[in-house]
Amino acid sequence: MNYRKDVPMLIIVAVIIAAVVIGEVRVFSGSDHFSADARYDGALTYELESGPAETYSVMAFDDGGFDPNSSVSIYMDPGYASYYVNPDIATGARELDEEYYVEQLVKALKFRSVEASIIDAEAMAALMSGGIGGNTDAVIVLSGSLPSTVYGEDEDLIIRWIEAGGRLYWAGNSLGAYSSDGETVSTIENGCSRFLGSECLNGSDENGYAFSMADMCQELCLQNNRMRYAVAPGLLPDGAVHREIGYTDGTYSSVCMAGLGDGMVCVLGGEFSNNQRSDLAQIVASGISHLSTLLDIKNGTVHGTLRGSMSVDGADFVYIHFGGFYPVYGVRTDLRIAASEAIVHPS
Amino acid sequence: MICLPGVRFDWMTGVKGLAIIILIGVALRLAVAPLLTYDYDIYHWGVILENIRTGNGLYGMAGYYYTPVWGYFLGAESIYLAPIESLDAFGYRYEEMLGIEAADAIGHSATVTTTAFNIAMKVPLIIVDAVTAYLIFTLIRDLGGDDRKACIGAAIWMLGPLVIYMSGIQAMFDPINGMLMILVVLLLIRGYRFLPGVLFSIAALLKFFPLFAIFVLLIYVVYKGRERGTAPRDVLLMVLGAGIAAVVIYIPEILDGTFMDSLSFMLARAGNSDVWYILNIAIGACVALGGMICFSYMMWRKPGADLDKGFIICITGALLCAVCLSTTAQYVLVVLPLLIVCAMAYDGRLKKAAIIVAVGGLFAAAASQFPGMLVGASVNLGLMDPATVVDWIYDYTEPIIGSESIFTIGTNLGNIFEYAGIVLALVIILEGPLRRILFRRRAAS
Repeated sequence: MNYRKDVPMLIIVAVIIAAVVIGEVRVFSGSDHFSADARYDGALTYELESGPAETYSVMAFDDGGFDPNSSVSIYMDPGYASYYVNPDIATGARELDEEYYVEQLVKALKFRSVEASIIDAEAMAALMSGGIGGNTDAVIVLSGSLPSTVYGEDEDLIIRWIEAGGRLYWAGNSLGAYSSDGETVSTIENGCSRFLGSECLNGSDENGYAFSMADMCQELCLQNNRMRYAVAPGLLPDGAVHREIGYTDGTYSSVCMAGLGDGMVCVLGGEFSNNQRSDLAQIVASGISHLSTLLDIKNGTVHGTLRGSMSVDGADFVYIHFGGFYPVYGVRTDLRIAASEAIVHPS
Repeated sequence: MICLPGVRFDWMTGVKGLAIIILIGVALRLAVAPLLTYDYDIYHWGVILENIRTGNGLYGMAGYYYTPVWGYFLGAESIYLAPIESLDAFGYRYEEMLGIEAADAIGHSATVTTTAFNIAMKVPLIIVDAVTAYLIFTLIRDLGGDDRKACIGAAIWMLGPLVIYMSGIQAMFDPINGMLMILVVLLLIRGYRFLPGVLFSIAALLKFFPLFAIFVLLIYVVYKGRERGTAPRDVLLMVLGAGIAAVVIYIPEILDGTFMDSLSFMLARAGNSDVWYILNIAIGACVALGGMICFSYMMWRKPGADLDKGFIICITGALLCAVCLSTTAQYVLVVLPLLIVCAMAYDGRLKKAAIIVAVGGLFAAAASQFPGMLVGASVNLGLMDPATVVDWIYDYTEPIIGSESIFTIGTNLGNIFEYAGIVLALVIILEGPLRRILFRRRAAS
């Protein structure tokens, strides 16, 4: 070995090994530093912090009198049959079944500053029973079939819970169409009507696409444009309070939020996909509802610390997110809490 | 001197010539890098960086399906890319491109990475190409080739269309494996043992094709060690290097239970039930395993008096067979640098094979990804009407002969051409041993 002659080669070796080791340390050293704070003292001011340079959006909303989610739970119970089809399998990937979806959704919510718990059928029934007198809890259902503890031909606990203020986020099959009692799945006739007031879902067997971006698509960086199981807002009952965001094919909307009593039902179209999962996390984390109105939005780049303000009156909450269509952080701040107690969620 | 008919480039030789070749190659790559980008893979590089930044590692969220090494390289990149403000957004979603997601051809997304991001992903690969050109030049000279041959070898790599495509357009990491394998060979020939073991593990855990050359490597180390009386120590050093590197690379995945996720790319493909796909993989596996056995045997039988020459030829042969496992254009890059070295140092006929492989591979890659590579140029740079790109993507996958489209016909033709080059190379490599076997049989009879 001639070390002197080999210097260039050994430098190359050192650089390669260093790149692998440094990269490995970086991959497993946790998230970058992100944080955001907003408060209203006559004017809406915000302070953003980001380790890497990131695009940001500060979105100020009027909540229309709809309180924020006080808790977020995700239903999953292996003891009750799920009913969904065609889980997404990207090339070389693990199948996006319900368990994997839920696992990733928890993580996607976490970096958007939302701690979600997983509840089984019994816990969901207990939660909903306890909320009949009034609640602001949110439950996400991806199983395609609701457990008989809360829903069935003769059971409507979930409906009463929503009417008392609950928020149901639904994706992955036709809303209300199925109920599971253990391993048995039953079809519920006109199940959608019990939630939305009419049969208004896309019943196609095809997981078709929408090619138009609609409200809040760019602002919330929504990515799912698949239409199977989506709601046709035009078929909702007259007088129904509803809001569509995301994508549309002219008939169906990729996201539809509709009021039911004091609560809300939010339906995302499409079969399971990573884009849908990202949108679901963004919508839940933002706290947007069928009654909220976007008052103002500010976009830009943050690297290090950035302070700014918005001239907007009457904002009830602010949703701040970093990363755009490659989301890395989000936090919702409720401005109705005393300014000095505005929530800070450093990552 | 490198000659074109009627033109003299006396000054393009030696280190100066290498530098000029590298500069030209880098310039060509930088010229295409902003204009053309295959959208699918690079979209996922952004997703992986997103997952790293959110603290979810490589396998915590969907988006990364390979063994860990490429993810670690991206992790290193995420550090130096972090302060660049033009990379604040990796990409945007375009309404005018939504149509491409419904096309039959897989792998298009209306979330299009920015020009800045595309360039940022390609620059490290361009640097890898330059390093590989230097290593080809160095190894050819080490094996007794003159400066002219060394420069031509570097030029075939640096100016080769498939290589330019992979780093300048597709941003795929197979050129890294080519660099690693030629570096392993160079280190071994220069007497190192631990470091080649480390790099071999990195290469095998980047893409697994190098594993098919493992016995050739070990046998070479044993024979070379016997000449110096250090065979057991040499083997131990190499195995130690490989083992330590593999453990260091995989320890996080073993501890957090994502080891099987790191193999999902291979396991998911193994689960494909399409008959033609299974047949394709079965034939490829036979060729790969057969090549591993054949060239390991040849190495064991010590082909020729020159051990280094025999080693390089056998490892090249084993890797050529390994890439037959799957007909994907970029896989051949793991062996192309060594094939070029063989062509310039041992058998000039292999030059034709290397060129056929490079041109065929380019055709296969470009055919399978055109017109998706125009997406960025249309929405980022305004060079084409997005509606035209969407129409082309649909037309490209429309059946024109039976169920075959331009996409499938072009890709298959390119693959046939590329694999014809591989077969030609193998025939040339095996010609000598086959003649000897036939000659012995005739003499015996």
